[in-house]
Amino acid sequence: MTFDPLITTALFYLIFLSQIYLLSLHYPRIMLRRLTYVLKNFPANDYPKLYPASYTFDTERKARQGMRLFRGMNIVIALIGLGLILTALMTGYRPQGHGEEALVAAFFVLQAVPHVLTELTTFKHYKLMRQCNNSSRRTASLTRRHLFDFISPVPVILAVALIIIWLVYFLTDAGLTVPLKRNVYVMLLAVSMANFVFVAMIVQHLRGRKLDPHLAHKDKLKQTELVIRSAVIGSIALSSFLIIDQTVQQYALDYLQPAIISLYFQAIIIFGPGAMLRGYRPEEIDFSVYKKDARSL
Amino acid sequence: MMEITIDIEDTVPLYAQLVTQIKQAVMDGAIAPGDPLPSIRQLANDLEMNNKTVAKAYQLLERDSVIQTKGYRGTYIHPDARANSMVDVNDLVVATLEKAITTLRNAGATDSEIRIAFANILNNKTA
Repeated sequence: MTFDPLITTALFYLIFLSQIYLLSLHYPRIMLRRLTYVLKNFPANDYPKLYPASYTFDTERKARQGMRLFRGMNIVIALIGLGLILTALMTGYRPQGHGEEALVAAFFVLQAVPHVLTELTTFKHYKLMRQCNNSSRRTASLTRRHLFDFISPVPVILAVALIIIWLVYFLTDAGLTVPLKRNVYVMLLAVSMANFVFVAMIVQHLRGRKLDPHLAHKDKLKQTELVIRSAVIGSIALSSFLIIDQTVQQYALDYLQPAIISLYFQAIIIFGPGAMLRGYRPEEIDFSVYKKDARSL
Repeated sequence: MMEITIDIEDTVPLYAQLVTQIKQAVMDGAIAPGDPLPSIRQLANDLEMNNKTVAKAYQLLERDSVIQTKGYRGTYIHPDARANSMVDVNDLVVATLEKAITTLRNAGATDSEIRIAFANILNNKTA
């Protein structure tokens, strides 16, 4: 089975361009807009619990510095991506399936760097919030949080079914000769680890401690729902990608792999952090809990 | 949605605050018989306290038949929770002991003898 090389090449460029736009321009812009909204509407003077480090330095100035760095890093990465596309166009490159997907994956990792740094900063911020939380009162809901209170069983069953389908497909294709080849073990371990991370995310949000000690109960529930959805969809996307990738290899369509892996990365971003950004808008968050005399929730 | 609040600086032990508030919620009708309760781990994490503290509170509530544990399905409010929440086992213990101590003193037993006998009985030893 073959496709017109011109179409597949054009498709790859478009998909890669979309990856650059989504991860390095679109989502960073949304994140910066959110931060600007929070800094503007909920300043440290009125909402001190939101800025636990405000006693040691000018939090707002530091936040704006961080935002400038985040914006700068993303623009540089987007330019590198555009540079790669231009170089490829000028040299008449066409996807061959000779390992170029590794380059797409490497570029994705580079794009993820500013986002990972932002996440780490957020975790540090929450840790500081917990350390500064000197309220002696602790409040909790007497409602049990159960997985299916937050998501319909259908996507969960689908996620499990797809893992099983991929496993059967993969092992059948790899040949069930014992001992299995080393790369089969590596693949099984990698997929298990990825799904373990999804399960850990769900368990942490259902049963674990609140990262933000002041977060309102309704916001905590909303966050839990979005994280669970993202994790389940992430697992579905991973299994779907692996099944498609296996099929592509079977039918010698390797030249489609760079485009497929780029689509996969975009899918996990759209349905993961993207869904969080869409569903958890700062306008809907209860910021009154961060006021000086707000009761700890 | 029923919420409970504990004060970690209160002189009342944390498990006792939990027991009192859950019983109060049952008596107020905020939680009804058959309602599920959060798991020990969930409640402990939400209240930022040790699992053992919540487990102790649940153990006392189960002893008083205010809650019941249904294996892996979790913990639920007991069908007779409302009536059982009104019974204070502490009051019963204090009243019964007061009566027994008065009887023993009237019979001529010294406080020291009562203490030793009481400790022996609690420790399953015969005098």
